[in-house]
Amino acid sequence: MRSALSDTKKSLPVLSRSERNPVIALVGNPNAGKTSLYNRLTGLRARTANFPGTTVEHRRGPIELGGRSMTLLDLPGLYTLDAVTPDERVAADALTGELSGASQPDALLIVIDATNLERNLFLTSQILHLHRPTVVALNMIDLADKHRLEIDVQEFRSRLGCQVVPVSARTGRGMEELRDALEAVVSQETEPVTPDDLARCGSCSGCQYSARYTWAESVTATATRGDATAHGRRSDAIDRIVTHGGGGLLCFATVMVLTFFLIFWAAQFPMEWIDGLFGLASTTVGQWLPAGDLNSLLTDGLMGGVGGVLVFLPQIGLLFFMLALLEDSGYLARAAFVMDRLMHRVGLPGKAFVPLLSAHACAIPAIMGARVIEDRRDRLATILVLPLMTCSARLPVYAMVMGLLFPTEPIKAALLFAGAYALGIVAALAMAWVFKKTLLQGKTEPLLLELPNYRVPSLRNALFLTFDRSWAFVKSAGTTILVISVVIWALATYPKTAIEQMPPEVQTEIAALESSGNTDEAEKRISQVGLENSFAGQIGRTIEPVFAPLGFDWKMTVGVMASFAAREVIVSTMAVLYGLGEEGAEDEGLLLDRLRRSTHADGRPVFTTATCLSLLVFFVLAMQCLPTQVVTRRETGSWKWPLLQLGYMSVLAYVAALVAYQVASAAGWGG
Amino acid sequence: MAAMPLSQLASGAVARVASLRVDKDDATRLRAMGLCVGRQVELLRAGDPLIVRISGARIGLSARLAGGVTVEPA
Repeated sequence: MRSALSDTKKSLPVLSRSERNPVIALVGNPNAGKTSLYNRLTGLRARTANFPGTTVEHRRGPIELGGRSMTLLDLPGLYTLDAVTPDERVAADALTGELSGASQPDALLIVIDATNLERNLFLTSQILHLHRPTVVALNMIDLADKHRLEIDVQEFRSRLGCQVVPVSARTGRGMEELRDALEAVVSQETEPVTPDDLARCGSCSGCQYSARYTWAESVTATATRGDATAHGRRSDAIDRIVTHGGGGLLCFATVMVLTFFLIFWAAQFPMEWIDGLFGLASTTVGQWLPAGDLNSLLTDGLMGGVGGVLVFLPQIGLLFFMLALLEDSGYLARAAFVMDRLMHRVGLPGKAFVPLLSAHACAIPAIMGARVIEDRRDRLATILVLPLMTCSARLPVYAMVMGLLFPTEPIKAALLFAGAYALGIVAALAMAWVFKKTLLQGKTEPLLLELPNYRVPSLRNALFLTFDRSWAFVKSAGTTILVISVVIWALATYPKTAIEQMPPEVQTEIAALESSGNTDEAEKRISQVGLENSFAGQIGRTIEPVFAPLGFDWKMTVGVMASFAAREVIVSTMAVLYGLGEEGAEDEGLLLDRLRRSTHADGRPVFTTATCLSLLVFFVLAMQCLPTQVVTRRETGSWKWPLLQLGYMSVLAYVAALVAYQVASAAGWGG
Repeated sequence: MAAMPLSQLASGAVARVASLRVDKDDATRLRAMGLCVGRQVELLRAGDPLIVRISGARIGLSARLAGGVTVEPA
């Protein structure tokens, strides 16, 4: 056992450092307050990691017990050791020591919800059969007290044959006793003494489930006094409204509208700060370093690229935060319940709805949130279609097109805006249906989920989770964003065009501008010609014929190429291409004016109604977001899925934009 | 009351699970949630999906799944 462990140590650096310390695994039903207790015991020192070779996450953190350093391992919540879903399977294997690359935990800490004992004791009975040193934390004891549910802890201990400590992770009550109990079982390696009635559950020939439930019922009956359902009655009353057909949908719509309003409203402040901060840093560095390639690399390439993605971090974080609060309150389970029937029509489970909705702010938290979907195929289908939803990075592009098409007709602009949203939604649902019928064939997992009692969500946990998830995003996407920012910067900067190499008429123009003291305009003209002749410009010209059937000219083609990693980049690229400099993107009126006046070589206007529609359709459906792809890779464990995502979305965007352009041109909107 | 699918139970009715006729994975999921032969269920809300109370916990499940669970008088 020990030698096998040292073999795996080399290949698994994640596990090696703490492996010598005793490991305590934290296990329990979903909704039993496992996360709160974990945060109580470890504070903010936990690290999130995947189990080796899986995409299943767990957290591990240091815990000091009786002067000894130990590791607390937080396993995914589970209902039974005979797990069906991958997350549950991994948790069960980790408990029994069957997970490759991880040793069996030295002790187990079972968390059970004191207000939902019977349900929680089923898993407890299975875990006690593992005969490992075990402590049971009787969580939410404060709620049990509040509802006058008396629990005879002594009776509990004798019926379970192990140490039982009443605690409240929320208030911190019982934490000292829990630590003492844990320390005692770890140092003395106390195995539970299985009482006879419990021992019989595992051996009886009939349904072992039934026997275990009967045992759980009998323990609950003898060890508690009072009304065990009192706490649930208020939840039942709320559910009568919240899960009711029409009322339920209305409630859901209200909660979601409020959530989104809050996210978009509250995110604007930190977004402005981040934008300002990067602007300031970029200006400072720009002034401090001599003008040249290094200056340009740092300010335009790195700070521009990284800042462009980080500016969305407040929205991403807020979405994580709101979803954590909703989940903790017990409401998210109801949302999945209410949406299940509708979602089944496209072959997705109800649990896919909240991720699909979240993707309207940003696909990244939505993809990470798709973890709630247990079935692998359902989860993959959801992740594949999530980036089709109109995220906030698309809004600058939509705004540009609306400004071109309907500068003075706000109602028409609003309708087309709504149309763009609808196109994304319809495309996502249709593609989900297609994937479930073809590549990810299989029945949609029928709904089966616990609807926990409602409770006041914990701010502390929500903040912790927000921090954890946001950090995971920055860590996994950060390097890629850096590299891509530099690559795109290089493509748009090299080869450089010296003024002497420019066409004579351009040289004359620049000289005239400079001599009249208009150095700003001269510089914009230089960067315009520079971009035209750069690799990006050359690539744009070369593949222009590919995008010509969509009505795109070479400048738009360069824009599409440059925004490959981040779609909102197209607006600033267009600004540079049209000689406005990067700051030109801020002056929307000026940019739109330039775009409107631009013509093809033969004098036809570029931005006809048909071209605008085609550009809009293309940006609704195209992938154009590298961080999303990195997160898809992280969540699916393979590059296969992000590549498929990129492939099908590119084809879809191209074909749909082609149809839009050709139909609109045929309808006479092309002139 | 004779044996009938759980999906046809009326709101507020209490019954006992008599058999599970669903595929293996679904059977495991149902049992893990407490829906196994011999256990008592209370129907909290009829419809699709429906809500039952089992072992003191509230469980939501689709009518299709509930159709594979036969219940008899408690």
